[in-house]
Amino acid sequence: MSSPPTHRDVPTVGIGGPVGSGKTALIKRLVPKLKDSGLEIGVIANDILTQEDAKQFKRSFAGEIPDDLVVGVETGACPHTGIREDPSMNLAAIDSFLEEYPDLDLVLLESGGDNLAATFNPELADYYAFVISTAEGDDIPRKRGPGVVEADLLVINKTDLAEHVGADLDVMRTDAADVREGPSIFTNCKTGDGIDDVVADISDRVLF
Amino acid sequence: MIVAREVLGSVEELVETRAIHEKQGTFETVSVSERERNRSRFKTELGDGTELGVVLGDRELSPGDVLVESDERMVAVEFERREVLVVSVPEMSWKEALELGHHMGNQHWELAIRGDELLIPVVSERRLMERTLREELSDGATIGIESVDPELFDDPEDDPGHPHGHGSDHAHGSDGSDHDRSHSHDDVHGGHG
Repeated sequence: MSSPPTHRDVPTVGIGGPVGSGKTALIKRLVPKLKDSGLEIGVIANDILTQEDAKQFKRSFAGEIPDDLVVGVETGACPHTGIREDPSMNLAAIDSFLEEYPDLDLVLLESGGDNLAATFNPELADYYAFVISTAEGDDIPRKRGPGVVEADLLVINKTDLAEHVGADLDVMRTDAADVREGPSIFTNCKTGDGIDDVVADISDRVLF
Repeated sequence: MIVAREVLGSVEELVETRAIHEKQGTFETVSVSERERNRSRFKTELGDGTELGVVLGDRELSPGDVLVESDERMVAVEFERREVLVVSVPEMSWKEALELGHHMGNQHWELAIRGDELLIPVVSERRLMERTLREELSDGATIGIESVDPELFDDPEDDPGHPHGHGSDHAHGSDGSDHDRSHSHDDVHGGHG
């Protein structure tokens, strides 16, 4: 490559979804699996006003990911602003990763928890997963939010809680298939169920 | 799976090669969506089901770009057209125009101006978008629907000669230029019930 690499030269995967759906838990599960396949990974956590998620990732990935490949972006406004309307802070963070790590294989971008309308700007994310949980109600897919409908992958997390909150997984599966063209995967980030399928989908559609 | 890491030229440049493939029945176009063409990489499928990975990096795709050329096939890009609302307004005061623009910005809608018409990509349910627009428009205004070349919404700085289009987002790339890369949505703050 003649010119130094930029954010356009590294695959980027966005993880979005409502507050508490399990975005952070999913990333904590994904990183070790992706690392196992020999990838060098950077992680960006978008929070409204804090570095909480970034700090959590730094602790979780100590020894797995260098400290300077985990950063927090404080959007200072609605989370979707930083991933959709004006992703410049995120793009700058990816660029700075590449200055130090020009051979980086993948950047995971966690959005701040947002509503069902949040989507990633295609300039920022080459692929994004939208994470919802059974505990938010089994009617979420049917509500047809742009995040749910348009994400490359819909992740329906916390399958273990479904029985406790009266959520019908079959209804969620059927509704998701009705409103989406792309795939949906059920996960339980506590046990790791379904994570391999998420890794496989990311690998298949972005890492080539 | 085939992976295209460069553009081999345009169909305009590769006339003879294209003619050979046309004759053999091995020329095809692949339709690239608005979202795909703004990503730095994407995966799509060819007519016979073969997977095609496209790695663009800093390059921007143009219609007619050739991604694959081998004995078996030649693949060129075409852009999926965008469905837009076409708004014609008989006359507006600057205040009304300002209010309409402010309102549209609040909706995160993209806008291109074609002569006296406003072009707004349909990004949610058409009836909801029309309802929102109607609240801001005078009685004489009309709203139609049309499929247009998506490049109408590209930043004119990227490609002079295009009508002036404005997206609702401005991603400042490392080159400092504004890109119109939005896939904007009718978005209301708070949970969508």
